[in-house]
Amino acid sequence: MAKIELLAPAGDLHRLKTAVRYGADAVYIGGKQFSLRSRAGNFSLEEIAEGVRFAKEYHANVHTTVNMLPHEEDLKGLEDYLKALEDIGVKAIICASPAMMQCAKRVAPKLEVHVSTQHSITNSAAVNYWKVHGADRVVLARELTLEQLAATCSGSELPLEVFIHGGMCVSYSGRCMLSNHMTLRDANRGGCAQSCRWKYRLYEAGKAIHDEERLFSMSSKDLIGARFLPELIRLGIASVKIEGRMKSAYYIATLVHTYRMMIDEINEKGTITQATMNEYCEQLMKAENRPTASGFYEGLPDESKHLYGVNGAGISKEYIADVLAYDEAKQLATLQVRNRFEPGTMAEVFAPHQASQTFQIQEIMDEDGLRLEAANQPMRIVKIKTDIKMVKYAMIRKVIERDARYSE
Amino acid sequence: MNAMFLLTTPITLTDIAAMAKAGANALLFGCEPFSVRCAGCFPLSQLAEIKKTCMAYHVEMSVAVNRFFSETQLPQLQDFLVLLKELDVDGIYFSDEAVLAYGQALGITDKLIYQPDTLMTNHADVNFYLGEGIKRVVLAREITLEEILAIAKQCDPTRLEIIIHGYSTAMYSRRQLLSNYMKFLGWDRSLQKQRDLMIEEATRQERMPIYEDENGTHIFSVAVQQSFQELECLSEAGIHTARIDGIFHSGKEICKVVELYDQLRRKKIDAETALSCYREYFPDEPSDCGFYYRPTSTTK
Repeated sequence: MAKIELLAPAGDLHRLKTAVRYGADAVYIGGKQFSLRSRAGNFSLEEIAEGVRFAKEYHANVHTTVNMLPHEEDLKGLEDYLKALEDIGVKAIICASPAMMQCAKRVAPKLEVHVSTQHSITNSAAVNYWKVHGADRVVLARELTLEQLAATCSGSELPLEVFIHGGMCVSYSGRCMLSNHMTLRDANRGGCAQSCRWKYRLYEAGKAIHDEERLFSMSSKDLIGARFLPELIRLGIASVKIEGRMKSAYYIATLVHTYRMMIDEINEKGTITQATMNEYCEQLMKAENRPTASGFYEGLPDESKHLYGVNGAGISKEYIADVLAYDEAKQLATLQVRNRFEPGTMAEVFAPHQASQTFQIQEIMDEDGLRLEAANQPMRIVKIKTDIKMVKYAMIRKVIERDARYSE
Repeated sequence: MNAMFLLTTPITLTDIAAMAKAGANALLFGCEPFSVRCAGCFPLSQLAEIKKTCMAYHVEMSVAVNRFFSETQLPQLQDFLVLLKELDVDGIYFSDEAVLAYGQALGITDKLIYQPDTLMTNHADVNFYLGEGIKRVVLAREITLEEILAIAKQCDPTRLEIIIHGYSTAMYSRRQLLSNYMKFLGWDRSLQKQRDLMIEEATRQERMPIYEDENGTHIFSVAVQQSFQELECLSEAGIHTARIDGIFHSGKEICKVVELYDQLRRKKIDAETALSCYREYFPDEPSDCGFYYRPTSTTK
């Protein structure tokens, strides 16, 4: 059985490189044209080329989203764009428009075509329909339970990709026009205003039936599918996808690092113990700034899987520094500050393909060796004494007891 | 303009005669558990009678098979398509490509009508599905009149359908959002299948219909889209079918609307008169021109 692919998001080159260094098998990005998530930064062709070159050094691939639902004016320049992606060495495009898929097959046949989740594919008959039309992979709808997913796998003749972690559209992907209706921003062309995360009053026959203090909202908790990973591997799923092209490098590093270790452990040992799974899930929670739930994997989501009365956009302050260098002789780490920390802070360092290690920050010095009361200026270079051997590109976070409300 | 078909959505069996008399050429029927967001959902056992009645009134009978099917529902879907073939229905609306795959295998491709709601936004995608040999494609409602006319120019317009009247679907979630909200509040009540529910964003004053059933939750536009001023140019563009959707209206109300569009297409009244009659019939109903003149933005 082919090894399952760990597919990570990246909104720019820095995040692409982070995802690859931390162990992603493939990264999906958006180009400047034909892609959703207009705020994710998105890559120029030159940046895509650099990303592909970098990924290849790590034997990783780059997938590019060509997933807008084009209006008439949006179709111009598609052939040249697809040919350019093929020339650059992009492995696959993620597509919602069948015309774009057919165009890719015609003008850039080396590109794999992955059918986007916007087609809301929930069964093998639909999967196999796309096989007939030349698709190479199908991204299934997020609305499938694990049981339905297993049944779909058994009849499908194409590799399947599923979401394992991250933010979830509350609607069937691609079937939501709330943003269009409420803000004239086109959800299927990169402009989604996330109107589903707003708060609403509810009326029955004109009479209010909501609780003014706890208004109706459609906002979903983020998906955490880690506990289903062993089963997804057993089912032969081709790829597990982390959502979040707009998320930070720290978020991506934390998730990719943990899922990489999980996949490698399952591949090596055939399973994961409950205790180890719990540890991995704790690691994953350190990336989160929103509460999480199991999505549809365990069945139709109930009220516990929704966000009511919780601001879903909180900012995590756990990520405190990047490791720039480590002097083994002097046991001195050079760090770039991301968020405030002080001497005495309990911290955890994690690096690509290495288990995380906990330590207490002792003395903090500036670049000239002068002692600091706190590292409180983002992007400042500081040094700390530590006997933990740190590597470049490692990241450091605070050890925080998380509020129980942030998970189911 | 006579060629433009008027399709609408009956709620009861008695609507068939009334809607045919009002000028409808085709009727779209829901059938549980295969349909979503239908004005009227009829039991499987009534379909033969419906077909007979439609034939008696010279209106086409179409059936909505527009839900997404899970793997275990596929055998039931196949059986249903066999039944629809035997009944010789005129059209089968679908959204899930499984319906297309099975329809092709059954030799009923020419009865299939693709209605993915949001996905049909350009001529190239329309031509892809028409190239499969299906009967028609329903265009998305979130495109402008200019875009509709551009698509009609580059496709066979006699195989296009547009929804000209009614509330537009703004969102479809598999989740039971209203039931979950009631549970979150600790209130022991069901709001399923109620058609008198509206939501209003906390900082606004416009209300959108919301409807929940066993298939999930559906949210609709603030206003009813009407197309009295646009019918003529849509017809001149050769677009075959114009739908009047009545999910939140009674059969009687829909008949009134169908009559107006029928008179308009037969040039018995002009657009202005039709619009003013409509406003007279429905004085409290918010209405607009949908996205005909409101292009959406690709940026946030």
